[in-house]
Amino acid sequence: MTLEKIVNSVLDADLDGVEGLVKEGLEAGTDPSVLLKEGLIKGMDVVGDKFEAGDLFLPEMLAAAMTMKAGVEVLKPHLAGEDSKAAGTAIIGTVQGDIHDIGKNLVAMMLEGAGFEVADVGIDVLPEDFVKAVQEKKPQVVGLSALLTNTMPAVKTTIDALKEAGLRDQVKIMVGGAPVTQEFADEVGADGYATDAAGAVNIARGFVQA
Amino acid sequence: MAKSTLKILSDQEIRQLNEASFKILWEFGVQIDDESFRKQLADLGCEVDGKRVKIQPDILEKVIANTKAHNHVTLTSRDGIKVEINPDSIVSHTTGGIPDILDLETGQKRRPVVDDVIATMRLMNHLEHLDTPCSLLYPSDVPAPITQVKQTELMFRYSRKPIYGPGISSPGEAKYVAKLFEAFAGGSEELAKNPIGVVGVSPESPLKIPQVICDTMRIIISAGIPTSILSAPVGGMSGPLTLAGGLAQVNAEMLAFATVAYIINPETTMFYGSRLFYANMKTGCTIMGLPETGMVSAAAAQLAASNGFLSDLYGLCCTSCTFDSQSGYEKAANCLVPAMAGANWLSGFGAMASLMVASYEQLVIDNETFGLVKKVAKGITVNDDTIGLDVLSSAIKGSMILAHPHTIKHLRGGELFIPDLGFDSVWNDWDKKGQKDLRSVARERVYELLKKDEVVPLPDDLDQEVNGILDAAAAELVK
Amino acid sequence: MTEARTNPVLKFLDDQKIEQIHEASLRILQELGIKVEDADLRQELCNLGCDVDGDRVKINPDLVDKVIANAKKHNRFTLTSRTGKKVEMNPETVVSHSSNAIPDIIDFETGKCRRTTEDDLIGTTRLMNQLDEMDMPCALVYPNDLPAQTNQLKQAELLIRYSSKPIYATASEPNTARYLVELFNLFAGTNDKDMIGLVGISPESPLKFPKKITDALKIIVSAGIPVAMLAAPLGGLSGPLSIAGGLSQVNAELLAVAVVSYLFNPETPLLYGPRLFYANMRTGCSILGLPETGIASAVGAQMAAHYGFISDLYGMSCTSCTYDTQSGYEKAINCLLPFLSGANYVSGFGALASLMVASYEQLVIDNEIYANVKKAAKGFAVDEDAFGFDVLASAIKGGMVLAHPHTIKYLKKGEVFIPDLGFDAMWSDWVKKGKKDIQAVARERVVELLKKDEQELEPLAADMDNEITKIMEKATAELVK
Repeated sequence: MTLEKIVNSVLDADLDGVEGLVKEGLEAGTDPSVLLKEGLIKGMDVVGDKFEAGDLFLPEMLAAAMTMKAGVEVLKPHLAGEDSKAAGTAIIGTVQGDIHDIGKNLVAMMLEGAGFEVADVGIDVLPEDFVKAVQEKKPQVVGLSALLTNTMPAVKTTIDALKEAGLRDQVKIMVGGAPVTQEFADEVGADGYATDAAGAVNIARGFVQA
Repeated sequence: MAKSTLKILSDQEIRQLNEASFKILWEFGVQIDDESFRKQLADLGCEVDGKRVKIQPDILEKVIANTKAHNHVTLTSRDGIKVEINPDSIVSHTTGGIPDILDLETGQKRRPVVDDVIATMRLMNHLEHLDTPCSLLYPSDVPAPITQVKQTELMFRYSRKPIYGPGISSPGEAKYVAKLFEAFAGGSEELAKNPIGVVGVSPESPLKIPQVICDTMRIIISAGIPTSILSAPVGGMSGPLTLAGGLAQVNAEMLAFATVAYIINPETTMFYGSRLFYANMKTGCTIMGLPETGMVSAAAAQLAASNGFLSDLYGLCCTSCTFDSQSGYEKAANCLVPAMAGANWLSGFGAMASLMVASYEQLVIDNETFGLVKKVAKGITVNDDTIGLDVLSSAIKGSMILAHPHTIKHLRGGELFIPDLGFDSVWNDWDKKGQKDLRSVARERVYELLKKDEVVPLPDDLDQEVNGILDAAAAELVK
Repeated sequence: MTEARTNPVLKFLDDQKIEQIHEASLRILQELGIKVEDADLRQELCNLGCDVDGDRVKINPDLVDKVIANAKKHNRFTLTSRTGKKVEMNPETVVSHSSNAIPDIIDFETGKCRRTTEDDLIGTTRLMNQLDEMDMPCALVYPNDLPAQTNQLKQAELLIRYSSKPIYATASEPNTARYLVELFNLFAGTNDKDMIGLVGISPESPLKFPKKITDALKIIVSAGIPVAMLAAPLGGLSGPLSIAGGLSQVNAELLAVAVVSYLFNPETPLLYGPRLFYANMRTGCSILGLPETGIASAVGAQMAAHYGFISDLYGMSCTSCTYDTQSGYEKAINCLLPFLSGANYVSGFGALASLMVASYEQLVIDNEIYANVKKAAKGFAVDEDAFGFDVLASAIKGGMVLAHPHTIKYLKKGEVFIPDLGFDAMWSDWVKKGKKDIQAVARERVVELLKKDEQELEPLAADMDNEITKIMEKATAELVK
């Protein structure tokens, strides 16, 4: 019963209810890994399918992801080994000179929803700060965002800085933002480009599975 | 929801126009070829001068009051689909009787046949924003004297929606069209109570109701079939070039027609079907895509409302002969402007090239455009909830607006238009999907929708009755 | 062509709803306030009577009223191009400008989409010289081959060199602003003190003023250069999804920019540029062709009129990536709505694909769409002469309307629109002329017009050329590393 309720809480994006339900499940002695897989993840899978089919809008998908994340937070201390492992790690930020954060936040949130551990390094991020973050967090994926035409050159500068620091081959880089195109991504030597947040998640998944 | 209002003319200007039309009807009068109508109008108090009937303002006021008392109608199709038309409605119909079509397979222009009439009718069954189909096409394989009867039959057989019947111009056909309306309504009393569709009847410009039209009116209006008065002066040719002059004239023609309808059957709903339009003044060819088509339609919507009529106007019309930006901007402008001015019924679905060429793809494209226009005309809601201060307040504290319940609620509530056919992503996606223009997408949609349509055959007895009416019409009218 | 508006007729919202949005904006300013990064600026606003709460500045309604009253006194000005072309701007006129800094263009030769360069900026600017309905060019495309640090400045320089019309520049940081003022000052004072153009400046949404932006604003406003305040919340992402919510927010943001500008220089004319827009809510990608763009702009025009500001709005925007029916209807609807609502300054010339792809042909097509919309929004005369009773009287007697003096008189006066680019004949003519769609016709027109501009554009005077070159060299030396 609780499992079904947990699935539904994710489907309904019941952010207020999910924590109580997960706790209820734990108190009832349900295996945390079952609560995760048969409850939260199952709910998110249904949401994912509906989203793919075009039946859900992005805000609904996102609200469900936030609900799942809240549930996972409750479960985390009880999960062992494989189950507690993130799908991958990513750092993400908006490049130097650009102070727009919506797209970047959206991708960060969607990556978290997909089980990634995400370090958001913010907006107007200097190339050297990206380098520092990669050294510290050792991510598999780096996401660079640029909204303005005149800040796009900073994408290349950042990638060049990672090269210079000898870190380029340790990470996969994906780029995005309204004026960014596949051609631009190829030109600056990025590994991936997507037009939207859901696409970015697919690319990141591909990176960590490869 | 606050309906937005476009006043292309001020209330004062509308009053001036009405006064001008009153003056036209009183000073110039209208030529009515039917002697008995003239007599009845004289009995009503009009002044008859040869074939011209001059109508006093007080009679017009009486006609207007009666029109207003009948300016709401619900059309119900054979399948039970209802289309309600009242002064707050905005519904659509197609163009009617187009002489050519772009072949769906070859893209070449050719004369349409009965099969095209059927196929377009079936396609229209699946267009969400198309409320009432006309017979979009003029079938070239039907004997001319019974074309209007045949079109009516095909509409009733294949449309799941209420219909906008053909423009009728001969009493011979009017008789059989009325019989078809009766047959499908289930008798003459039912027809008057619960009409399945409307027909159009056109007086002549300037200010003339010829004998055949008088006879047609007598049949249709006494049967209680809601009638759209389709008066179509060409500015600068059969009416003044000035927009105001054309409007004063068309308004006078509407009122004159309604006065005659009043003496035939005051219970029948009349639509203000202004079809004032313009020509390329270098060649004299009439073209429908000029912005003036939309401007005078908007003014006509205001005039119709001021005189208690429901309006039935041009809408999605264009001069363009192909699926280019021009057909897009012409159709959008000419539909949006009257829609914002409160038009009740708009035409134009399926037509290109100044209503001379029809197209399957265009029907599907027009469905999208009309959906857009309707969304805009609906207006927006302003209240504490929609202003949403709490959303902003949580956003500045760093929470995500995108996942806020307010966002989801209003998205599901239809705050934003969601394109159904139109492209709604970014260049890269467009490129990835094969750089399709709207016509290609529409083409695929046409095949999909036609495959989806299922024809429900008529019950045997109705089928026989309809065949009998058609046979009788052919026997009487085709020599 | 600057033209006096005769008939602003669409009230998308009634006056009471407009007032309601105004009240909501005042509450936003007073209760939520604006995040102002610059501590000094916060202090100055505090001195002006605002409440400072951490990095947020809360603005009281009295100050807003004062700023609005002041803005109303400075809402009429004239811009004069280097060749002497004037554009008058005030709440009664309607003029056009192009989209700005588009990163890609459909190559005129190959038809393929590619990155834009300096040459494209020059080419499109010259084409705009020849478009009757285009009043003021922006740098339509972003010259990707020029250094980022001086790019906006370079855009302005190229506009000055190649445009025969007044220009619309942009500044998103103080260095650009500083040199822009130097460039503008070369021309100010030579033509009755008219400025050669204006500058667009954008805060961030929701309710955020980064220091870079306020620094740039300070420089431009202090120099007295008219500023287009451009606030662009994305409904459902950086503002409420509900249209009324987005409008209240964008209005609050613009009023706040006006307050800050007032502090710097109360004499500088301000333009009200609500650029509220929306996204495809399945993907989150912002798309400009939704009808809500036009709806928000229509109400934006009403809000501006309510305050006495000159409005500067999206106009011919579209999501469509090609010259199809969709780009036609999207642009027409989104331009008509603000136009009918009394917009003063309308954008969108030359853009496709949600402002991400530019096109030469589209510039020419937009010129035609704009002309159509302008005609529809102009209204028409309703008076005794226009009624043409004598025309009817003679027609009833069998006279020919077509040759009547009344017909000829009004035809000459422009009663009926005469398409300049659009097809205006019958199917058989269309076939005879080779079945061209409007893009094909526009293509031929582009070639024609560019050739014409080669002959017509006055070169820059040598001394002016030198001055400009000097400023640009100085800027490059300072800013480009």
